[in-house]
Amino acid sequence: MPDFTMRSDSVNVEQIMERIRARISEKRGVDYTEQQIRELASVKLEKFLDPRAVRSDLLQQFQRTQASQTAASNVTFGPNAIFEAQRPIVARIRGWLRPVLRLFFNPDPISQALVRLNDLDPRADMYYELFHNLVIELTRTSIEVRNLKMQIESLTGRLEFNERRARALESVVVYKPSNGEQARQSRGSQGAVSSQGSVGSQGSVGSHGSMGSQGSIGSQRSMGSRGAFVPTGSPVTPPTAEIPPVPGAGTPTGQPAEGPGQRSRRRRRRRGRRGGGLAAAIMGAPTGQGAAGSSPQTETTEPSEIDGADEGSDLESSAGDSEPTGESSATTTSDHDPSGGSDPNGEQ
Amino acid sequence: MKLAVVAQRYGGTINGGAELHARYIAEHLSRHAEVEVLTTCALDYVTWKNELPAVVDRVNGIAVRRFRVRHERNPLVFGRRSRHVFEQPHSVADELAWLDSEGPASPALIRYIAKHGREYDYLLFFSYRYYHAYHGARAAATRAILVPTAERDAAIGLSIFKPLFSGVRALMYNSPEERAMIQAVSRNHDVPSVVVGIGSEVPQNPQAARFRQKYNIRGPFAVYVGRIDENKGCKQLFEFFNSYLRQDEGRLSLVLIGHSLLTIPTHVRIRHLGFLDDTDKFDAMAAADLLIMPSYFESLSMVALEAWALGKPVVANAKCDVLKGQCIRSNAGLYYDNEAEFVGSLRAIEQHRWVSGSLGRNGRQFFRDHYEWPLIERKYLNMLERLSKETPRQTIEPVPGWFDRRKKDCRPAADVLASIPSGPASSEAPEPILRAPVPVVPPQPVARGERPRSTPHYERRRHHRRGGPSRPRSA
Repeated sequence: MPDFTMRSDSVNVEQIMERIRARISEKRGVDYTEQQIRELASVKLEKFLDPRAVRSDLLQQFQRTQASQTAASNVTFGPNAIFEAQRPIVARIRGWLRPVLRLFFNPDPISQALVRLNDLDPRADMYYELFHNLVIELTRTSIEVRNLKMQIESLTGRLEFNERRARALESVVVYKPSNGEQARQSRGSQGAVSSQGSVGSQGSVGSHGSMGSQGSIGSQRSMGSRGAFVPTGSPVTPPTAEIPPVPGAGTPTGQPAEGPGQRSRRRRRRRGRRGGGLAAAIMGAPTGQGAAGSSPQTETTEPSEIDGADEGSDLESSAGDSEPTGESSATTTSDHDPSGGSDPNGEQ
Repeated sequence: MKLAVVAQRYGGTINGGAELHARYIAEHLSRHAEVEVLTTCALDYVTWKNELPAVVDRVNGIAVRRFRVRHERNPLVFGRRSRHVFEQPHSVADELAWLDSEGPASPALIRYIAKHGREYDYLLFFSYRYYHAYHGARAAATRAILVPTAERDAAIGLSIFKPLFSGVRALMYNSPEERAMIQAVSRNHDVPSVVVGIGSEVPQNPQAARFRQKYNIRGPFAVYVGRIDENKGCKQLFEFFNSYLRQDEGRLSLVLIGHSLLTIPTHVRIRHLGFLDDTDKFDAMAAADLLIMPSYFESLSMVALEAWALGKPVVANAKCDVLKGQCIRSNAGLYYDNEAEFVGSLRAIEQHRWVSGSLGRNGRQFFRDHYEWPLIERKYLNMLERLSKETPRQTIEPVPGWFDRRKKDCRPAADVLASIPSGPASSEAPEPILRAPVPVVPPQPVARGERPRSTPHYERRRHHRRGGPSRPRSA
């Protein structure tokens, strides 16, 4: 889009107006001047209108009709019409005798009545003008409709894109199982996790094949975040630590199980803390901006996992919020600093 | 030197464009010559009703001689005759009848000019289209200088004015567009003429904050100053500004100053303040971000010049050739042809401060170069000096005889107007005066009907150059 790039005192208003017109034409498609619209209305009417519905030669027909009518009644009445004559001498004599004639009768009402007849023609002109304006307005409207259609198509495309994006974001939101299912999963995956010797405490990891396959400390962050069931502020246990599962407890770390109300409150709190910048990061900020500031590990995330990584960092940061200890808190403070400037890299 | 300024109305409270123009010129020329104003007793430009006594009084130190108007204007008759001469083939008699119905018909004024015209060196007639200018210039053709203040309306196409434009001693135009239009109509290229315009009494330090505080106006705003009338383009202005408001991106408000003949749209960002005095008006213009001039017909917009003098950009209606030409020549204003361009122009000035600043600076410079009062006075004095050296070559063509006047061989004035080339005269700026400004000489009171005893500034200079006394010019 052209902009005012001149930065000088020697402005040229004609150039500025050209830029304004260029901007207008870019914004709304083709920009027609009044003269162009009139030309289009008279010449290329069938191009914009349905010729079956509207006759493009309507004006011409109307003009021909008017011409024939006015030719038939081409008599102009003035105040002196009744005294006029074809021969000048007769007209002159009539003019001389006019005062005498007025002694016999009053011709003024006749003249006035005849003058009124002249008013018929202006009315016909009004009809002509009306038709003419109607055709012009119709053409203008059809052009407007065409431009609006183009705008609608453009908006539809944007809407579809946004819907696809929204669906993609929704698809990465983690399914949250119930407590019983969670305990079952943690029991079922305990052996596998222990054999990996990594994050054995995170019993839910086993349910996510891709996560479990990552099998590195660096992936703890994303794993922990995806497994929203990881208790808030759970200390990062060494990879070799064996933590026995606590039957019946929602938290493998042995903390008391939290009820659904507590989780929803925390979720609400988490949502409330999400600012515009974070949403922007979720909605498509590249990894180098939105998530890379969280930890160096996320920079290694595959491009196809950008959304998931962002979401993961968001969720993990919310987990680290309640008890900012260890690595978890260190990697997430930048996401939730209300000042927005705590990122040491200054990438926000 | 004794000058007469002949205007249709005259008074300190009359704010009409041509009348104010005449008053400014009379007051400023009175510093260099004895000036007397010849005018009518009317105050209302619609009815020409005699409201002032037919005496000689003084307005701001200028002697004003008033004459009664014979009859008031009948709007119905005037409208009917206007339609006739503008739209239909007609005769010279019809045009004269139209002129008589337009008014202000003051035969007493014309008789005075015919009888006492020789007592004046020159008579400056303002507004070509009125009775006093047409008949008065004919009564004193060899001394008549016409300030046409012509707009691009159908009256310019009437045939009776062609001899007037070709027969006066000189023409003082307001703009190059006006000159081009009149020369296209009357082929009067050989008549001495100059594009002068008019200055304005712009205060040195208008108080923007005072205006905002007084009228409780906050935020950026555009100002319109003038009569709020459909003929001035205000209806279109409201439509376009409403469109600007609907788009919800701009922050400008619209402040309207002047008497309103239209219904003002109800919107929180449209304020009508009514008629303001000059102090408040200039304060408002100083506080505004820009001035909008939506008028279709202007011979010279004094308000636009005042805005430029205050360093404010102008957004003008491009359908007015004069305004568009002034914007282009000055590089100090934008112009719109349609709604989108109006909105785009406002946004360009609103969003780009450098555009606004540059336009304002250019406007201020344009005003200084062409419309400062010393320059205007110098142009008038130069023209008077030039005319005093020339002998009058032509006189105004006499009015056709009784039979010829009644021949319906005149084209409709609207057709004539349509055949005149239009558009801004962008390549030609008003003639700048590079001489030193005229020293200000206080007006010298002169007794009524008496020639000044002391040699005026203009005569003194000529006398000195020739080395002898100046000869009296022949009539």
